[in-house]
Amino acid sequence: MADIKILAVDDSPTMRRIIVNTLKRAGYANVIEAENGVEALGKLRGEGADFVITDWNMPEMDGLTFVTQVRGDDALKGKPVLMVTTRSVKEDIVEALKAGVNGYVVKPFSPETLSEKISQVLNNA
Amino acid sequence: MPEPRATAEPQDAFESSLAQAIRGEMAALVSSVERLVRDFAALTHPISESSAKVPQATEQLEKVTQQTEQATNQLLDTAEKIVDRDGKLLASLQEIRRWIDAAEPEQRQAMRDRLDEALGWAQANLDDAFDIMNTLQFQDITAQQIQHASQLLDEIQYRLQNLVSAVDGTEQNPPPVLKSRVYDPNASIDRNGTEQSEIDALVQSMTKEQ
Repeated sequence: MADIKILAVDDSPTMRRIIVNTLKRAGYANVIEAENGVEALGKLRGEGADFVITDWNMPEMDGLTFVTQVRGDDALKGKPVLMVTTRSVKEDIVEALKAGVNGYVVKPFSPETLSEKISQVLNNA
Repeated sequence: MPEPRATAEPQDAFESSLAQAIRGEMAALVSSVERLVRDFAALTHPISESSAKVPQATEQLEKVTQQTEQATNQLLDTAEKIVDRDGKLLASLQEIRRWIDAAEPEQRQAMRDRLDEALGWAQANLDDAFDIMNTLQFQDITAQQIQHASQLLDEIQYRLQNLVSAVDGTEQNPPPVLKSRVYDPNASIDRNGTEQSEIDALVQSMTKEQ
């Protein structure tokens, strides 16, 4: 668990801090951050990461476009992606799943839900 | 030929009364339009005034977001300090427990009891600090709600300004530009959309299909 490098993508610095702290508590100490899809793609291609947690609504490049770009990139397409967003409408969830997310969590989330979904996605990957 | 004259007379009377009725209706219509224009002209000033206040309201909403974010970050700083300190406290207490195991047998139980109590408090503090952090997710959600309200105010201002321009005959304003932050207009702390259990079922069914 400790060896997994997680990329947390969210435009809200507050949310990034909360996600990083929640992940550390769950035992994931190696976490890098990005504030939008463009920066996240750069970090994935540069530093690399084993797992991605991404928000949907972000400037520059939103989470859905980011996931589509990841799935369209031969080097990145296998990365497990968990979407963590305020969007809870069924149509949005279906759209995200069609774009290629492996899991979906609606904000506000509980630490237990986040940890559980990460484990589920990693076990299914 | 008396007969055609007999039918022409009522026809003329009918046309005359119709024309009179139309004139009356037209006069009423013109009067209504004139009143409407006067009312609009009278409204132009208050509309302009109200419209001018919209940027102040938007600015206030942005201040709320900034100040809430600032307070949230201060709370996160404090919560992180508690977590850090409590982690060290828990490590120290666990070290003491190992020393107790090596102490005189008659003193061990009393020491263990006190230590377990202290460990319980330290763990409870840690749980509470994480609860505080988790609750602070509200800031991201209220920021999106405020962003939506601000966007709506901008749109109202645009409509009001264009109404004033239409009355004044001045040039129409360009439509409002979207603020830099992309937001979810339906963001809510109270879950009003799909429950996590339904999402999980959806994820499972769609993953199976693929």
